[in-house]
Amino acid sequence: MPASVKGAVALRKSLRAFSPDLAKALPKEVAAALKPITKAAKGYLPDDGQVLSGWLALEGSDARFPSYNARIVKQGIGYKTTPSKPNRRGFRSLARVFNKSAAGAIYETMGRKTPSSRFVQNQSSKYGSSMKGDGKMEGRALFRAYEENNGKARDAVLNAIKSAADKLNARAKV
Amino acid sequence: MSNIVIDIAAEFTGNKSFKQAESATDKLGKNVKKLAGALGLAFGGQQILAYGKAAVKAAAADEKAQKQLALALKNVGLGRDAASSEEYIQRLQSEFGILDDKLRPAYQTLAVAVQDSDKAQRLLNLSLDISASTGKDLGSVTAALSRAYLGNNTALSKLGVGISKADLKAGKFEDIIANLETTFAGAATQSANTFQGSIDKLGVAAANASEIIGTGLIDALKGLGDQDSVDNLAKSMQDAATYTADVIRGIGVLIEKLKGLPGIGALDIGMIPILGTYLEMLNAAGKASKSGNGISAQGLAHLAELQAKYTTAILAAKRKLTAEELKALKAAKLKLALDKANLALLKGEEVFDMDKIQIAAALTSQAEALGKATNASQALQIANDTARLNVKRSILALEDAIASKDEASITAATNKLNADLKVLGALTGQSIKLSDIKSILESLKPADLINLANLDAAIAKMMELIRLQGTKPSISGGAVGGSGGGGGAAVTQPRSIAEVNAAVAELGLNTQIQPNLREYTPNQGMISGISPNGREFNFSVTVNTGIGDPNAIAEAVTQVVQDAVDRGTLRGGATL
Repeated sequence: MPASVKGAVALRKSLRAFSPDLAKALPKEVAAALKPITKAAKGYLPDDGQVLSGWLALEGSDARFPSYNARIVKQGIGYKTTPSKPNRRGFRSLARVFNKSAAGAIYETMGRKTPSSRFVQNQSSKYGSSMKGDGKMEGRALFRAYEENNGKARDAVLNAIKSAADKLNARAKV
Repeated sequence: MSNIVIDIAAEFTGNKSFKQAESATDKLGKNVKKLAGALGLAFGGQQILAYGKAAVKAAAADEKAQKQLALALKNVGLGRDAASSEEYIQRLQSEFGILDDKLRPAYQTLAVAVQDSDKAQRLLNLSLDISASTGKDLGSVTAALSRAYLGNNTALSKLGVGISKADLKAGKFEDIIANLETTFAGAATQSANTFQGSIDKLGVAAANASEIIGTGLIDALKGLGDQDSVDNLAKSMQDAATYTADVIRGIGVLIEKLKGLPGIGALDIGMIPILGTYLEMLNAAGKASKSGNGISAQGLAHLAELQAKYTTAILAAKRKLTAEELKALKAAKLKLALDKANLALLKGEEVFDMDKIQIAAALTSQAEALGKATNASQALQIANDTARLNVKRSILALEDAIASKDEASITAATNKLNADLKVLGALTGQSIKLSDIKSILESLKPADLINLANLDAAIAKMMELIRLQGTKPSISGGAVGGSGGGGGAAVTQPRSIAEVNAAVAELGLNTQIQPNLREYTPNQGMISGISPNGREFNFSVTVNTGIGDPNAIAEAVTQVVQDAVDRGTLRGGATL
């Protein structure tokens, strides 16, 4: 579960309006906190030779199942420090990491419901990565990296936001 | 599409649907408020307070209208019918939904015209029918009927009631009225039974309720004594209104709940346990404090008194403030004028010291008077005045010295003043001596620069110098020896031979004067001089200057000779 913060969006607006240097520094600090997760997650991805050969893209194939391409999958792992649009429950994400490619998502989550499927077993025998996390937060790459981060990134992000708010308040005092 | 996203931190800001719900709630609130306004309800205490003020005003106006009608009826001999007339008006009001504010003037107009209550009420009924049928306002119709009763049918013909001018001229008033009653019979009743009539009745009821509430407020004002009690009452009204509004809402909820109970039909406040008892007690207390029928004149008078007190107090405060402001403004102007005057005085003192100038002028005047004095008494008077002026001048000098804080100056000025005072005291005691007067007067006289004694002394000095030099004075005859001789050459002191030689050497001439007064050039021997026996010698001198401008040389030699004449070493000039 993400940490709930109040006033962070307004803080960003205030920083842009009254303290541009802090407005630039805050995303950098947040990014510095998120980078280790994405870096580790990319490291957990297999190369093209480490996945099942049938999962790779074949020339002239019309297969609709997402093929694995290590380069594309690695490009799909990243982070964002800008607030998102509100979701259905009215929450806006302030900082997030994502694994947005389809093949990356498959590698991330395969075996959650059917760990004994042949595809999962074959892939696990070819590239023995382990899943970490619980429930919907369980995965092989991004979720694993986040789990192994032990909340350091979350604390760093919250500290960065709090620090920026404190600095802004200090500057605002006459 | 995959959804592998981990939110590290998030903020709840609400989404579009929440905003829509919020907006809908706001709209609902606004609409409810509009609805309340349309129904004459007020939700805030402020509105209730404003309503209370309006109610007091309406009650006072109603009371005034009642009294005016009663007075008008009394004046036309219908005083005994005042109460019944008021009752008749109230009945018409509730029956036809027309405010008594309109009915009373109409009835008054008709009653004054016909001077009969029954006829007036009959005509008013007819007027209501005509007004309802034709759409004319009640005042115009009653005015037309009253004029028609008095013989002027013009206004009635203009109402468009279906009677020709010929009929109006020919027919009797009774016939005309009967005709009109037939024509417009039941129009007012019919109008009152329509939806608009019902709304009008509700409006009349609301206005009456307002007047009744206002009457109660005026009664409440009777208990007020202090000036600020109205403010307190206003605040209390506002608080009470807020409280009452909440109570009313609570009662609404209570009624709704009670209705839900089995066996409860119509609500009786007294049925409510405890609360009902208190409310009934409050109601009884209110009834007991009600001041008779209608609005209490005492309450109105008290209200007027309080208003007058307020007005007086406000005016007094404004006057006081204005007076203080004027005083401050006057003081400021005076200070400014004084500052300007002081500045001008300082500038004037810098330029003129009037005392000193006056003293100096007086002393000058005394000196002139002294020249014209012909006897000793005048001289004595002049001496006395002069001594006084000297004392005054010494006083000013001492003041200046004190201002300068210079001890030496102060001491000197003090001594001078003492001396002058001593002289003045002597003059005042008339023990003056002639010598003292002379000393005073002589101080006024300017000292002579040249007089006979000075000239004698000068000649003696010159003779002494000549004697010491052992030379004879070279004085041309008549040049000295008498004053005002005129025409003689200037007397110059004879110089020693050494001085003459030095002067000649300065001129660049190679000549010397020997001690025996003979003048030599080294190469040509003696060229001029005075023999020991006083005989003069003239010589020609040739000046060898080499090549040059002859005129310039001649002018230079002439200048040298002239200088020698001017110095006194050469007499008679020279010829080239």
